[in-house]
Amino acid sequence: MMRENEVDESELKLAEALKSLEPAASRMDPIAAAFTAGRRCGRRRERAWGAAAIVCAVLAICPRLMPGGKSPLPAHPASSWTVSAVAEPLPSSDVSALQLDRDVLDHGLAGLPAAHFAAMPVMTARDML
Amino acid sequence: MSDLSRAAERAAAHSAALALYARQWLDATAAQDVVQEALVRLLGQRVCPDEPVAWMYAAVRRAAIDAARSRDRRRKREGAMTETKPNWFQHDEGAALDADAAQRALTRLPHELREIVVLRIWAELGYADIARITGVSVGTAHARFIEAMRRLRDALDVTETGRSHDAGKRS
Repeated sequence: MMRENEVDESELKLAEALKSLEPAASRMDPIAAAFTAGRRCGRRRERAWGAAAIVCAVLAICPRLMPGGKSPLPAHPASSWTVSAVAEPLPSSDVSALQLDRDVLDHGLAGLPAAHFAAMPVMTARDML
Repeated sequence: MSDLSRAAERAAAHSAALALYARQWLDATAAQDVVQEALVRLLGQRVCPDEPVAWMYAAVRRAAIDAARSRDRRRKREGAMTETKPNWFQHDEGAALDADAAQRALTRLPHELREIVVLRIWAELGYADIARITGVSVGTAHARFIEAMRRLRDALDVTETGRSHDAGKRS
C-alpha cells in the first residue's frame, strides 16, 4: 500500500513530462544589471556623504544660533580667567614718559619697569568656541 | 571574478525559470522586469548570499507579489481588466506534454500549490529551499507538491508514447 506522502510512478512520469517543457525564453541582462547596481551604489555613497556633511554643518552652526550662544563644549577654565585679566583696570604707573625714555636710552630694554600684567595663556581654536 | 559576479552568472542561467516563477503573479513583461530588478538587487548586495539561486527566487517572489498588488490596485482604480496570457512554455513538438494543456492545468491549481510545482520542477530547488522561499515548513511544502501532482495527473492525460491532452477534453 502506498503511503500518502509519496509520489507514485504516474506522478513521477508526470513530473518528468512537465520538466520536458521549456519555460518561455526570458531576457536577463547581467551587464545592464551590474551597471544599474553600480550606479545605485554610487548614489547611496553620495547621499551618505551629503548627509554627513549636512549633519556636521548643523552641529557646527547650532550652538551659535542658540540664544546666549552657549557652546556645547565645556568652558575652558583658562578662558574665563583670561577675560577677567583683561577686564581688570590697568595699573597706573608713576613713571613719566620722559623718565621712561631716558631710562631706555641709558640702559636699553633693561631700563623698562617690570610689567604689571598677568601672563596671557596660549589661545587655541577650542577656546574660541 | 568576484563572488557576486559568479552568483549573477548562476542566476542568469535560471532566467527562464525565474521568469516563469514571476509569471505566477504577473504578465510576461512585468515578470521580466521583476527578474531583472532582482538581479540588480543581487549585484547590489554587500555580501554575496550563501545560496544565490534560492535568494533570487525569494527576491523575485517578494517583488512579484508587490508588483501584482500595485497592478491590482491600479486596475481597480482604472476599472479595466484586460488580461493577456502569453505562453508560459516554449512550444516544442518533442516535449512529452502539450504546452497549452500544461499551462491550463497549472493555472487551475491554487496558487500555493502551483508555485511549489514551479520551484520544484523548473527551478529544481530542494524542499528546504522551497520552504524557506514560500514561508512554510518543509513538510507542508512536500505535501503541497504531492497534492499538486495528483491534481495535475487528474487534469492531464499523460501517455507513455503520446502527448498529453486535457483530461476534460477526452471523449
